[in-house]
Amino acid sequence: MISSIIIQFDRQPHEFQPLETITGTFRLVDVDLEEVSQIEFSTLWFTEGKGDEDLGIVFFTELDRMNGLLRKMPERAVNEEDAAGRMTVQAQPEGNYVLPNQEEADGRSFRFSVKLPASPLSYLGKILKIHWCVRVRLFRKNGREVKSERMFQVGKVPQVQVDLN
Amino acid sequence: MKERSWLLAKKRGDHRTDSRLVGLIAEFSFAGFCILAGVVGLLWLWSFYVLPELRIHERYEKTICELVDCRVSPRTVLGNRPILDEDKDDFRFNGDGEAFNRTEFGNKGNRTSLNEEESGFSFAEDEMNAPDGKNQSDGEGNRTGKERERLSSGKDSVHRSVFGVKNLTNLGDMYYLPEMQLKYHVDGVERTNWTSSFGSITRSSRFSTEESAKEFLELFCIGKKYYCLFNPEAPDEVVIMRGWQLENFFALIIPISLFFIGVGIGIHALTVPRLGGSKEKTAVLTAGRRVLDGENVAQWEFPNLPRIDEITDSPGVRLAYRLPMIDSPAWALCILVILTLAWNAGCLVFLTIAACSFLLTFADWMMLAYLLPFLCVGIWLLVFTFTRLRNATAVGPTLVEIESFPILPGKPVSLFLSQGGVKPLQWLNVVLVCEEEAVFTHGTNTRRERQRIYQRLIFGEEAIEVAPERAFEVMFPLEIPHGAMHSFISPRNQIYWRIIIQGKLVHYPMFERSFPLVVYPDISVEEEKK
Repeated sequence: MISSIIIQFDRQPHEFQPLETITGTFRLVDVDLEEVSQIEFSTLWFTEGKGDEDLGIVFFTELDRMNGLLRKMPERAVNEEDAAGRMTVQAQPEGNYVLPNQEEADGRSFRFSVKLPASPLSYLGKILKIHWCVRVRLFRKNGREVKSERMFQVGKVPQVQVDLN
Repeated sequence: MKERSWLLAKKRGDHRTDSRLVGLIAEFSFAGFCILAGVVGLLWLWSFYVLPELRIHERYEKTICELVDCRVSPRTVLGNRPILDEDKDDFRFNGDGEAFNRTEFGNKGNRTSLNEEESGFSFAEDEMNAPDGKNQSDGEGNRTGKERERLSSGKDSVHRSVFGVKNLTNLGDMYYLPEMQLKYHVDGVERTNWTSSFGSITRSSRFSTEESAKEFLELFCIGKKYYCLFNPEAPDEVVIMRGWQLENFFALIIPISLFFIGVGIGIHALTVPRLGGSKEKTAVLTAGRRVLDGENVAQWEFPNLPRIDEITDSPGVRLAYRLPMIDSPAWALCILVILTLAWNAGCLVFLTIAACSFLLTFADWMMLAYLLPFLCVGIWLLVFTFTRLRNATAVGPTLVEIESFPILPGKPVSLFLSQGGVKPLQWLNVVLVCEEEAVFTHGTNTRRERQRIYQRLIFGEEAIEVAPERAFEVMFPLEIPHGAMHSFISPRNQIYWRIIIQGKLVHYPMFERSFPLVVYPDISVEEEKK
């Protein structure tokens, strides 16, 4: 069974502005939750190019059984009845978060929301590139690891053309 | 091409051949070994070397002794004393080692023909006196000058015996112990004792050859008085005083270093998460707990931009802020001047000595020949430093002031330039540049590479008159191109914007001065788009 993680943003294309909030979901595919010891979710930028890699973490969180985020959702947690007896989806918390997706009760889908900082912007230079991504790492109990990441763009700095006039 | 084994392949990035758990266990094991070795080594050195050394100087009493006699005793590393076998005229080892008693040795010594009459430096007698170096009777070892001569010449039975030992102990477990018989008074009682301790009761001075041990003894004169230290609780323990055995204290560095290496590795293994961790988590832990606790880093206004307060802390005269000059040549010039002065002062001293040799004693041509290249370097340094100083002082101060901060792409700001000096300028250019800088490790070296990605002449003029009382002053607009990347700084990568002032004086080389700019991303535009 080949495990994988599918990350999706709520908005297409994956271009965001500084200080904007990115939202989306990630889903564990072909993963037995009993075998999972921990999941790490991070939103980060990293450099690529001639220099050694630098990375900046904007938001990082761990999902495991200790914090109760790595388990099947109880039925009542998915939906609530309002005063009129209608089923409503639970309200999402404010700020940055990663929570089990309330729309799916199998515990393998998670929603995330992260507010981006003002800088740095995505950049494609000559010897330096700055990329933004959402990265999810899944750690199995046997020590193996599954990693998945989805890149996105912050700002709109055009690709660098050397201009030495 | 045949692919190399995964075990031999060079590991890069996250790739590794072993398991994280094994790595962690190995790291902790190594840390534990280092700590244990450090503690054991420290205790051993402290107990057997340093503490007794301190005891000597703190508890032992100082007195004056008279050197009565000297001798050299062959020993083995294991502590066994060699015994001459009567049948084979050779040594054999006594298994009791240091517990070798006087009577037994005396008997064996008698069976050898190495008596004092024959040797003058009797091994038999020496060993009979020597086992613990204590309680020797007076006058037993009074040596005559003739005996000392024989001791020095090595033409005695001990020397022959030593050859016997050498034949038997080619493994190199043999050493020679110089010993001294000292006469001193404790509470009015005269005591005469042998000692092989020179400044330390824990360790004797050992020599690999008999000759070197004898040479060491020749530093002392029989009959002469020396300072010595004796144990008031056991007055027969005596040490001839030669100051502190500093090597014992220096040796402490080794176990202490081992201990701290172990502690450091342990802390590293504990703090850097290996099991179930990742480089993101490591980065978070390095940055602090804020991110880990879910606090948004975006609360920091502009992460990864250079600090603006270092630029805006100096107010300008015409405009709001005066930009600091980077890569100022002042420090380099100061160091150059000091080096030049020191070099030439040294040369001058030796030149004076050489000149005196010509005038007062004999002509030291050799010294003069050796001095000549140094003098040439000194003259070159003088010329070079003078030229640099002249160039630096000929170009007057350059002041750059800016209207406002932060600078945003597409938003023009005013820039003010003042160029002082005493000589007219052939030309003067103001250039706006943007460069990428990357630091990378190449093997064991760390290298830095820069790539200029933008350069634009924003002001240029020729034939500029500059006078001491009237600096050249100009104000012009500065605009970072719309959509350009903002300044960026991270530990190993940078994007920076600069104003570079380039100019040339008549009959002088070109000069260049840089001033930093901090360009912010234009968030207002992005928010409008939203």
